[in-house]
Amino acid sequence: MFGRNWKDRVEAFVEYPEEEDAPFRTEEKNGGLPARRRIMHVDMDAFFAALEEVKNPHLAGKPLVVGGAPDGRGVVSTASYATRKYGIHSGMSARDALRLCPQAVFVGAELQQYTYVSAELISIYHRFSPRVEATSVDEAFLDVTGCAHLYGSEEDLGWALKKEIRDRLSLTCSVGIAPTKVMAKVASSVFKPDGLTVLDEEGIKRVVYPLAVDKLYGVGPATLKILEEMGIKTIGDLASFPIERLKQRFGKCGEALGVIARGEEDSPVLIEAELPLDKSMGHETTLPHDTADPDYQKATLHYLCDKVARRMRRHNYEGRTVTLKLRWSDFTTITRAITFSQHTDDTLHLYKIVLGLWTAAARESTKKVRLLGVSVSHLREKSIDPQLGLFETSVGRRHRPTDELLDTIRNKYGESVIQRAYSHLGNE
Amino acid sequence: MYQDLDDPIEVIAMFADHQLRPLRFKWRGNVHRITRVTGSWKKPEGESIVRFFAVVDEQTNVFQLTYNERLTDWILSKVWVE
Repeated sequence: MFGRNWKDRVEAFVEYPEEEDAPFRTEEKNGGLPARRRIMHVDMDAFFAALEEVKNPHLAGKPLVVGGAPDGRGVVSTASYATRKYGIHSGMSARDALRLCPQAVFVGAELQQYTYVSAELISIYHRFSPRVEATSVDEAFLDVTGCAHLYGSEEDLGWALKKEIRDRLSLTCSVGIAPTKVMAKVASSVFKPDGLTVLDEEGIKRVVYPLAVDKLYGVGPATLKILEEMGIKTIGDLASFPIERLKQRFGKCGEALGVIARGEEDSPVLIEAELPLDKSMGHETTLPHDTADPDYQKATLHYLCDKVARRMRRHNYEGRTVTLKLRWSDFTTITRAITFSQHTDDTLHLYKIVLGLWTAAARESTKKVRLLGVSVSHLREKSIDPQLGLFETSVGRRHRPTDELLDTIRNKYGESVIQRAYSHLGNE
Repeated sequence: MYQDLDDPIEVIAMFADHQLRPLRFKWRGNVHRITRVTGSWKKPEGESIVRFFAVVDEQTNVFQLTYNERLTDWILSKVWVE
């Protein structure tokens, strides 16, 4: 449903297709003249927390944390703005959040609702532009090139969208409009919450260039460290830095970084049908308590393999690289992967592969295990006529009747109605 | 905090404008008149739909009701306790 990894997009826009292949031909819509691109980024304000506040009037004005419970291994999904001033942020442990703000109210995440409301948001976005790319449950890009005249100005367009969201869902958002996706995302972060920032090329130099360079989408901690060593502290510094030196240091991505800092990247807003295939599918789980019990770990892996394989079959995928993730009680984390020539979407076949990886990995430490994860990559859509190759074995297809039967039951009655017996231990 | 429950309840609901809206419900012998529906969403469960409603009653108690279309029954799934 959502857009793909930033690194993929950086590489994608450097190899941007020729104009005639572009999915959205602005020239035709502008009487043959190239239209100035205008991209909108919408970022819902403390989305999960805001929805919980709308649902429950008792939460109004209180410091609110949405996520896991502070008495367990819970993690903060979102903190309301009233809570963030205490230093609470997404990803931190709920226990630490409680320590920082003892008066905070903790509520569990209602993910089904958030997903449902996210779909409603997308339908609102489509009233403003036919090209909408949701990059997460609470953020989206809209291509609003040539749309401003329908509302009078880009500011009026932005206010109209914010009003629609507020009237229909009682939620606020922060909006940025700029010539590129990256600059639109920076613009939406300039004034939060409930902000609206419209930038042209001059506005980018005035408002964006003085900002710290890690405000740029895609500049993470590792890249930031290197940029700082090179004397690049602001987005303006990066925009004016010699391209050749960036290429020397970062390769092809170095050129891309310079281009995006100058507001010149032209990566398009992709609609659902244009998004690239998923690169991997996986599930991981933090165990209720750290354990060295091999049977419990194996049952958990079985449960995870069932979930991953089921999801692959639902999307008509099969994959040939299997990765195990294992985190021990001291937070040491390893991944072990293996790639086959054959693709698979079979639960038990996947489990056997993962079991082999786990058996080897588990020997590396006697510590208790805290987290287990399984993912499959090198995905492809299943062929319509899946005949076995001359030298392929049938092991990947032997259990198909069981998988198909379970899928049929779950499609009709829901995911939780039936489980493999061994998985049950891992689903407690 | 919310207390998770799984209590069957009796509900009077309105079907209008292509929407389902609970109006009141009886829980543990007490009737609660719903003054506001503060949130509603749904999720697929197999071929059926399960609908959720966040509601506030006359005493500003907050509840979450769940309606299972396949089973045509209502459950009180959460109540807000201070």
